[in-house]
Amino acid sequence: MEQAKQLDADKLYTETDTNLFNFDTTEELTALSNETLGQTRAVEAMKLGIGVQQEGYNIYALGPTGLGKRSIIQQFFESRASHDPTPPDWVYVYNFKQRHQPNAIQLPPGRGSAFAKDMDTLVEELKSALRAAFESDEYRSRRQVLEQEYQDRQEKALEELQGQAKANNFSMLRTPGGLVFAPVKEGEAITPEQFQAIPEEERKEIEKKMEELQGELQKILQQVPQYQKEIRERLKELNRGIIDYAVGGLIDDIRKKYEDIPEIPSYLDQVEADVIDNVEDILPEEEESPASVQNPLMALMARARGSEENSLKRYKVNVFVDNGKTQGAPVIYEDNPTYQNLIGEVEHVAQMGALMTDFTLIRAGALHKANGGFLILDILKVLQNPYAWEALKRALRSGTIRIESIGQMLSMISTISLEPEAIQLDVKVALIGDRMLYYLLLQADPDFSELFKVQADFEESMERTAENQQMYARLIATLVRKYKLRPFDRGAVARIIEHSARIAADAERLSINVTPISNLLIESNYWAGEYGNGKVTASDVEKAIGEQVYRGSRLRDREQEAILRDIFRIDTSGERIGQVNGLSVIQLGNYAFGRPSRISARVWMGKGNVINIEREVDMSGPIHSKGVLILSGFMGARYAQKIPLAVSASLVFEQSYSGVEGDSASSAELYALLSALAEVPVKQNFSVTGSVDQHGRVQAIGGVNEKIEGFFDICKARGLTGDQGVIIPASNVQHLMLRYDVVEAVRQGLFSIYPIENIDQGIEILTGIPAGMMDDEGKFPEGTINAKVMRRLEEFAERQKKLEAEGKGESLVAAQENSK
Amino acid sequence: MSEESQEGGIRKILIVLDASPNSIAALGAAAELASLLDAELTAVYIEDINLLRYSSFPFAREVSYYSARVIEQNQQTMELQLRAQASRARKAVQSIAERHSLRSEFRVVRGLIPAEVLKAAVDVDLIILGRAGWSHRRRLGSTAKLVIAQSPRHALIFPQGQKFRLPLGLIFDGTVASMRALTFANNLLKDQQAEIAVIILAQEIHQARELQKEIENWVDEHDQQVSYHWLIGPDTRRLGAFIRSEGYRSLILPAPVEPVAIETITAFMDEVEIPVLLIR
Repeated sequence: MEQAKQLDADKLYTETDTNLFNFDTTEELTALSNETLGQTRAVEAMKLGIGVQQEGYNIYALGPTGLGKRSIIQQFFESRASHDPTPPDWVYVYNFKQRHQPNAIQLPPGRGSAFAKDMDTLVEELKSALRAAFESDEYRSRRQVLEQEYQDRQEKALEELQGQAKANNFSMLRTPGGLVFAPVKEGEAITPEQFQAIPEEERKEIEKKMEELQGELQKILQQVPQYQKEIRERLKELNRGIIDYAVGGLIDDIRKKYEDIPEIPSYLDQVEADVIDNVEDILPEEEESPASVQNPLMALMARARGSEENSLKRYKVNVFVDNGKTQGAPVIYEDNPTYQNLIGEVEHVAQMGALMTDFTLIRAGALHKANGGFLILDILKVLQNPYAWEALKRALRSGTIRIESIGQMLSMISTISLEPEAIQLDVKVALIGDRMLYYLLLQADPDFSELFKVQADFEESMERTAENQQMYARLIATLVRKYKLRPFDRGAVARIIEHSARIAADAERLSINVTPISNLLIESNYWAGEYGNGKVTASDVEKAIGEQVYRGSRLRDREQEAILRDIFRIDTSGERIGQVNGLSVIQLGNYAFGRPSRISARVWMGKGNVINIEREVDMSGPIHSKGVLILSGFMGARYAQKIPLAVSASLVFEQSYSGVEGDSASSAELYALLSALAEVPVKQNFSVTGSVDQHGRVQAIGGVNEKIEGFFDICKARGLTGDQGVIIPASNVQHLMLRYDVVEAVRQGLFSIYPIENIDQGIEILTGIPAGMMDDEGKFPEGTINAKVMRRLEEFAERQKKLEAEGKGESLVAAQENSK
Repeated sequence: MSEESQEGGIRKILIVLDASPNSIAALGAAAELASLLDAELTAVYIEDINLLRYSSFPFAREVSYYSARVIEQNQQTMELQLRAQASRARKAVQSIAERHSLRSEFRVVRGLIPAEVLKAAVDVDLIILGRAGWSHRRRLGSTAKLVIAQSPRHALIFPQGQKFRLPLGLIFDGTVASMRALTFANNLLKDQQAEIAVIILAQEIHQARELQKEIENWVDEHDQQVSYHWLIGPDTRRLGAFIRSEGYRSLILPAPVEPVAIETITAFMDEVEIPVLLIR
């Protein structure tokens, strides 16, 4: 077996060669046309999403925040939208047949507001033209003649009847509710006594005559409604003529102007008919009506209900989508995607204590504004707003937008509100959100996969090739310009690229999360300003990084202090049996730091089980528990092929007061176990990380940089001795982007980092004793760690066998197990 | 008649209310005028004795004005109906008097309508009459005609739905009543910078000239704008046509000295279709 060698200092940090760059500062670099660096997969997906016109090809952009998803999508949509035709304007107009269902009309872009303006002008002119026409002597006299004719007709009939009555000695008298025919004598109604004095035959004659007169009167009065209807019709006819004359020309002008829009001529016909029907509401009364004098409240209500303003409001046009100033197709980002903001709403105004609405109060939603173009939404916000997601899906599925209040949608409110005509929807929607939401929706919502077929998965990092680093420099230049920062020199650019690799936790990859990089650029610029630099240099960047770390490192400093004051016990020198320094990472938001932990193992005769103390008290996460169980597998396979594994062991993270998760400590746990079994002490000047498989191979772990630095900081604080170091999985070497002081210490031989492939390499470093390879007979060379472990296990097995032969084995082991 | 009223002042105005809706409508106009003249409003509701008599017949029937049905009548229901209407009239008078801050009086009397009107007219200076009748008729009712013919009081007759409005025309024929009419008009317009259109009626031009001079003398003593129009050798038809063409909305008419047939006056009033104030 090959012995592990410590890493050279130049393997610990992959610098970016400034010779890659043929510029002095970012000023010389051209900006990137978009921020799609490293996002080939997502870009291809978006091209597909935009290109396919069929239903359901909407886009979901997945990835954590800070990747610039929204601005990339916006750029893509905008570049496509500029070639697309501008969608039509939409207006709502009064529905003269169903007043609660306003009609939607589409007009070519810009003509919606022109139409509204034309109608406003018409209404203005309508008022004055109608007033002039209806106040003209000609109209008045024609109307008077008409009314007169009707009155005369009735009057004449009544007068004739009165004459007839008089001739028969009756007087037609008015009662509070009608008319009577009273028999009279010399102008006065006769009394019953006088009546009785009349001979019976005459009396009968009088009664008969009276009945006749009543019948005649009935006939006359029965005709009244008919007359009234007739006069209304004739008045309407007269009005029609006069309105035609007064405003027909005005309406015709508009009709001609919009004759290419199919709905408008018929709408104008209805307007004209409505003006004729309601001319009395349109023209204000000259004087207060008696009703309004007697009851001011009634007058107020009448004014609110059917005043001139209200009747004319009917002819208004509500331009609720105005694309007059839109170039190409619209690209809308709705920042607050509430139900109403998405599908629009019908607003209300309070009037005399009641909520009133009409078609002019219909307000467009984001879907209306984006209709014919593109809509970008943040899925988390959509899901957080009640019913917004359902409304969005319904609109996309049906291809129409129907404005309904939430109450209507849930059938909770049955009062009459408006039901505006639904309009056709043709929109490409892009949702932005994290991966978890994408997969949750995919699993939980069957509509989701139907409606959002394009998955644009954004990368978080990209390969650190020379070419990509040059592109990265241009990305930096782009951001520098965007935020109006001082130019960054080559060194500063290189340092930022290196830091980006550190963020990616990989020396061979670069983070393309723009937010932390932008923050670093802005803060570096600040420090350059503080130092009076005209351009930002590597030392400004270094300062900014240092300050970021300092701001976030309060907890790290407290933890380190606790170790240095021996509150948390971590040895960095000497040797101990069954005790190894493990390494863990604590993540605090976007700042992470490493911290050593003491891992200890104890062994005793038993039945081959390893007790994970953390698990016994439910402080072990599943991955950690799995790692410990793997150890049992390794132990059994390596040492118990011929003898029973007659040992029990306990493993613990000392002084751990919260849970333990992850398998990166499993190699450290194994070393502690082997040390305890072999009774060989472990050097405490080393710290260990790495997970282990059942064959004893050491596997990569996360947070390697933070872990190394965590142990280094403790050693440095206590004084570097030269024999201290960290053992890491060999497969993690490619991730190393260590801090400058660590690299320097290694270069000076004050600290060391050992990459290992397997457990045997690790135990050799930790104990200074060879691990030993098993020979053909299944034996390990004498003096090696493995041989010592084997010997101990054989001892346990033999003793157990002996005890069993004596009949005590079972009970003894059981007693020992129970005492744990 | 009080002393002031001899000089053209009007202290008491009578409005007669009966079963006709027009009479209630005239109430508003009456109140407005009373308020302008600072006069007291006397409203009299007359329960028509003829109706009560008729309704006591076993065969009494009424033809409903609103449904054209024949409904049985008896004295009790008729009394109730009249009382209810009187009560409505009382409320209307009260509310309108309050609104115009008027002194008012309301009486209910029973009897024959023409006689009761004339009786009530004894105590007042001006009688206001709506055009009573069973339809929206334009012609004067029998009661109005009777008042015009027999009452010595000033009378104001409103066509339905109209009020006393400017511009105001005044017919001047040199009689005492003409001068009273001028004084009355002057009182009426005292707070308004409004003009009286005086229509001088004369048989000859020189007469007209004299009459105008007479008015000019009066104008010198009174602060009043006046415009003059002459009608030489007029008849009622020409006069009516002239008034209509000038667009007057109210007219003050002095009662003729010579015993002109009452039909002539009422026919003239029917023709002009504006409120006419007859000054005696």
